[in-house]
Amino acid sequence: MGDIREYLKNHLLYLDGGMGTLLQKRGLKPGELPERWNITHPEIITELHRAYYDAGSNVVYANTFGANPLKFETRELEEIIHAAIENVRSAALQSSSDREKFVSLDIGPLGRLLKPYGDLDFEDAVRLYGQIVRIGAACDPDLITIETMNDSYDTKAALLAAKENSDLPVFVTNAYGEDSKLMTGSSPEAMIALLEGMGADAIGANCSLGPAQLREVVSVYVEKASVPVILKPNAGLPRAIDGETVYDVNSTDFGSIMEEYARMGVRVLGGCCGTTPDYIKETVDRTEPHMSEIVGSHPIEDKGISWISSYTHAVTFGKSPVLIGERINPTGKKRFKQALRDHDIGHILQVGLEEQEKGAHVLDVNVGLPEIDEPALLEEVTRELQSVTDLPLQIDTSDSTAMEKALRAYNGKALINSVNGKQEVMDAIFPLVAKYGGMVVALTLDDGGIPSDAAKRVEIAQKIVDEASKYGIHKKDLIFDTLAMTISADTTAALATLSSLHTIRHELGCHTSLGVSNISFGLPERELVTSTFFALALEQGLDAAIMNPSSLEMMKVYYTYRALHDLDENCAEYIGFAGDYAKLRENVAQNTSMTAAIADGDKAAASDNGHSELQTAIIKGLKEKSAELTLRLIDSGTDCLDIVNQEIIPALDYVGQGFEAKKMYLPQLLMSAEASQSAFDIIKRDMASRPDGETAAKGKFVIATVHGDIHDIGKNIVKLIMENYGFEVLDLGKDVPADKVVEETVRFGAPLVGLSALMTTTVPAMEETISKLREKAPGVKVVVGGAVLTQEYADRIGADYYAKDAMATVRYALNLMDEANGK
Amino acid sequence: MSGQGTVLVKTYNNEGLELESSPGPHGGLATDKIDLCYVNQREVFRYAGIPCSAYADSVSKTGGERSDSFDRAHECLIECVKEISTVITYKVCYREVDVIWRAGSPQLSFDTYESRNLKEVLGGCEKAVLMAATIGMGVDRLITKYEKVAPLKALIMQALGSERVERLCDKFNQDIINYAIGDGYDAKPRFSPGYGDLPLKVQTDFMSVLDCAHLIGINLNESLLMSPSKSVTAIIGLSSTEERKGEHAFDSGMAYYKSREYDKSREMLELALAFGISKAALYIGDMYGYGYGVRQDQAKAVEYYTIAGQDGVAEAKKRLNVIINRYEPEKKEIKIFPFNC
Repeated sequence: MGDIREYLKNHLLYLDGGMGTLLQKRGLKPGELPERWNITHPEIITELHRAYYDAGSNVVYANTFGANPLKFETRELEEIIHAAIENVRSAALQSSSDREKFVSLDIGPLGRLLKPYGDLDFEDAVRLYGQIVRIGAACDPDLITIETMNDSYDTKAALLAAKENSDLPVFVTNAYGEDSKLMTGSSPEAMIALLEGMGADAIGANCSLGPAQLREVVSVYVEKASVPVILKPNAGLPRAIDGETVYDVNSTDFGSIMEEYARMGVRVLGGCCGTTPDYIKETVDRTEPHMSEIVGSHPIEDKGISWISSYTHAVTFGKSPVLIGERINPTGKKRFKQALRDHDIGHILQVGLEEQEKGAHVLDVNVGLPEIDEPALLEEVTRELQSVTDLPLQIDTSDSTAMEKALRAYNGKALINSVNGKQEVMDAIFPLVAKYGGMVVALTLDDGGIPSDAAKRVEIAQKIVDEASKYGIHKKDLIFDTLAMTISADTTAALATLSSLHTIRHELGCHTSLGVSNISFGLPERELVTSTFFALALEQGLDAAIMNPSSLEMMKVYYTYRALHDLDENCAEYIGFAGDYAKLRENVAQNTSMTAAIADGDKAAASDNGHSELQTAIIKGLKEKSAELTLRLIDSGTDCLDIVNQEIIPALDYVGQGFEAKKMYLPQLLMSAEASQSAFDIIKRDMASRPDGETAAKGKFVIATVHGDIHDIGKNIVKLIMENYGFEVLDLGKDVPADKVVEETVRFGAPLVGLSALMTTTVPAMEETISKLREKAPGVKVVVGGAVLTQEYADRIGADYYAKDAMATVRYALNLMDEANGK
Repeated sequence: MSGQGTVLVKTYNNEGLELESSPGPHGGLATDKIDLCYVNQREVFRYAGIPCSAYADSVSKTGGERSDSFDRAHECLIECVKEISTVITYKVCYREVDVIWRAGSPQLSFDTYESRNLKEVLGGCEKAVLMAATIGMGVDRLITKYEKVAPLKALIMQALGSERVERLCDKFNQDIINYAIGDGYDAKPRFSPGYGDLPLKVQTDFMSVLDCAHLIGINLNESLLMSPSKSVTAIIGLSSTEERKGEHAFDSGMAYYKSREYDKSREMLELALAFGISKAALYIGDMYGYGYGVRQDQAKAVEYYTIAGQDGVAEAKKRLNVIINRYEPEKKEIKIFPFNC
């Protein structure tokens, strides 16, 4: 048997068909693990494999789909995988077919969903898959197949494990639903970008639907995938007829659709649930005689698509300009720096979501500050961002350790910012691109700095292209940044940037990106210069810009450029923008005049029940109004601490009491909390802008949902209300192991810990956490809450206090503080 | 093995969502029709912590009297409905299974830990439908997102998700009821793992029997919670509507008994027992007691005689006495003071 990759260049490749359905016919009982049959019924397994080889299959998958460490102990897992591959090998020897034969290790999903929606950590998944791959690779199969994956993140974990633990070719197929997406929302484009980037040798679709329903998915794959495309559909949809499972596509119809798909460019053909050797034979009979014609009209070639992806979709460079939001970056932003120091992930996410709302297509992520652990934070922010936004991310760091951590954790094909002509930088970054996939921003500078003339910049670009190709990185995955420098220092700067940009785009044939804002540094009304430069660069062939999507001037250029370049059908998007534009300009005008209107006379109307205006706004849960009134108070010279103690806290107390008396309900409590949060944001921003930022924190508080529990809405509410009352809250998240709670409590130095559990099954984890806290952090008080808890439970597991809701936690914490101060 | 139908998947179309315009007298729909398009606001608010009474109050008030925070919660709900409708999917996978009765307890293909509640909800059923329903991962993504940046919206989204998946279960349940009636069955109320004394561990069996991960994307985590979180598993008992089903089973069991087809006889008598015909236990007890068609097993015989005896079957009590006197000689009083000495 030769290398399957070589074989594929000139042949259609036939896979096997369904196994599970055949095993059931041979007596496999529901609930029985089919993988055990490799050992208990090797003759049946071998016979079924042989039938597929005889029918024309080139590749037969070992019966190892569910053979994973979550289902089997290591010893049994080894035995099963060894026996399974041996069974395929015997079948290949016995088969009368004279076709080329290959043996594949088969890997299916682990059956547990990855965080944040499930409870399996990504790295744990990589480790579990790695174990399967090592055992399988030791049996020397010809390839590894990863199939029926319905989550892109899980697929990435499996492929990474295959790549890290073997040199075997890897085929990857995903299970698409009727909406032509994976269960977790990924489009075929997103999967192609991700999998090709990571070096899968053939990719495609299997299972879940019949061949006819997969038409849309297949057409995307054959149009856009650069590697051979696999299709292994079910025999249609299952129906129950007299207690028997019957699939609605027979072998003749199956063969005829498969032939059609082969003629569309599908290179690897097989069947999944419900298909039998007859289905494979039909497919082979219809296509094998025309193989050279079919293969000849669809050579395997690079489609040359430059794209990145998130877990849902791909963003392609080349036609319409791509906007990369620049706001997740501490440079020159005091509030953002403060958020990084305070580990205020919420603020970072908020910034990202705002950029998305304003129209960014990609988010640049830079969290580098000298005093923080950048690798840990960048990984965390990457994971957090991809749990709230479906935009692809541009990972922006000069620390290659941080880069690798973020790329591993990223659920898609990332934009990597950046590499440049310096040898040591290329040596550090290109191996990461080759391993994890990604498009790289390449800056046209090297050890000699930024050349002032355009020709030298192009020279550096050529050097980077050559070096990248040594790693197998195609130039379609490089995007050049010819470096915008401020014209306030050198008025020829823009011309050099634009001219090298033009050459790289049109002569070198590479895509380009610019951090456009730099061009106007040091000038007044910077937006005017930046936006004009943006327009000029677009005309020279700029594909992407790192910019501020909140800038109206920049968005104006974007929409008008698209309308003028026939990229906006009927100018519809421009017209939509123009409507907003008029409104937004009005708002800008209003905002600037707002501060002047401090002495307006509507105070009497707004306040009631003896509450001040701000208090009323908080009680009513008016976010914008609360922020605006807080700003006014600060501007009029009111001390921040006074605002907190005399305005915000009394208002919250009023709502809290209403909630306790059941006159107000949870949604109202949250509305007020959000309103006071927006008031706090103003206060925080004000404090961050002062030289020695005073803090208003009342005390420290650690909160976590205990190990095994992934429900955390209750915990989040407590966190929010506690923050409102001025506590410094460290939120450890959900499913937190006892040791971590102890460790972080000690590190953070909190006198009070809050634990939440929703289910009776996780109460023991709470008990364990409490007993460990008692041991390692004596003196720390523990308050517990959650749906299943009662006073009795709390007493039994040794908690200090049972809080029935968020307000009860606040009251308890305030009492503790009073006691401590009293002493 | 008989008794396990095919696992089937049912997908309901997501044809847009709207809030119910006119809640009926109890806040529900004015008609019995369960349409997935309509969101029951009252239910959503109940899940969000606004009691029904407070909701009814707010609805009855008009204009300035109405609390504006209710209005805002309502606005928030409208936004949530709009967003959720683009990501929600309605999927159910299900399988019809036989319920075998043994010693008055229902037996499924997996352990049900002698749940008394399950026994009650399956009372008199010879079939059941196992189901798993989910509204998909997209809803979890929205909840996660808003938990981080907009707590009120997260709360309402959570509540809306709960209302949606319950509505999906109701809809599917209605389909099962319709189908069951056509086939001469009555559907019992649905019952979920984790309710009453049916332990959550059976989730694992539901997942594997229904092939949930593969078919509709429900995965179980270590603490037996489902992802997507807005998913439900349940069992719906199906009982024959023939009024005299129990008697029929008993008669048929006795016919087999007489023709010495003991296996079939036992099966029918167990069914009769499940319908409350205690006398059936007497004959099953006899089969074990005398070894008809099975290996003789006095302990089992005693078990069945006891069931029958408790319900006043005199012969069973007699047989029980005989066995106890004969087979439990270690009881000292009997040995030392024989009654007939």
